[in-house]
Amino acid sequence: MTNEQYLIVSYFCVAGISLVIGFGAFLWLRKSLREVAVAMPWKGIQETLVRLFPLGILFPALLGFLTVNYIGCEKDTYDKVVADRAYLQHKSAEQISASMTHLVWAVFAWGIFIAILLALKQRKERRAETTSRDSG
Amino acid sequence: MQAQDFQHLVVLFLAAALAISAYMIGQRALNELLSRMVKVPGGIEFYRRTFLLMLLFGALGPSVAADFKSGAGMHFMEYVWGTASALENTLGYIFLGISLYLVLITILVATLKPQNDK
Repeated sequence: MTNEQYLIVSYFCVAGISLVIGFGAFLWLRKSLREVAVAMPWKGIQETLVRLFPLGILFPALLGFLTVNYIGCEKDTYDKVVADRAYLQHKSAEQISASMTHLVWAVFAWGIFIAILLALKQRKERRAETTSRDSG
Repeated sequence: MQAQDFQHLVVLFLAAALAISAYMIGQRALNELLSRMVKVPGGIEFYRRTFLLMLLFGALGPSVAADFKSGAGMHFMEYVWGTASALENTLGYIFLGISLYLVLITILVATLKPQNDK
């Protein structure tokens, strides 16, 4: 296999791997997130959460993959990139690494978002409790 | 198998082991705290899984991209130093994962205000 063929195959394989990693993270959190979403008292938010969650996990995984550039200071032309097999392998590994790092940030963001929703839900319930106690 | 591949495998294994150990160490206390705060079904599970995911991806991410030098005439300790250098990165990211999670839990505590059940 020539280096150019290796570059083409590895690039698309790594893109697939990044998506698989993102999908794995989505599956790992899907059930518990759905349960949280169902418990939310607002009608629209349940479906919005369930529909946006896969995108909110898969996109960062793909984004991480896309942030890695092959052409840079070290190798400034396509020919120089293709000439070095070790460089190509390292870039593929870097893409997977970036996907994982972006997923950490995405999961963190989702955690904060869910925390805010839980707090709003709690506040609503406490307010309803206070109102019913006052009226009763 | 080349020395580089072996180093990579060692670092990946150690990264996963360290992340899982950190999770196991914090799991019980975290469960206790979450069960006092989060009353929504699935909420505790979500935050537990989030913790493991952040630690695992945080640890495995830099380990996958670790760059090892190899060549004829390299000494055993040079391989050890290469592995240690990759692990330094991994530990840094595990620490980052834990720190981020602590920020998350602090936000959770601040917003949900767990009741004292003395």
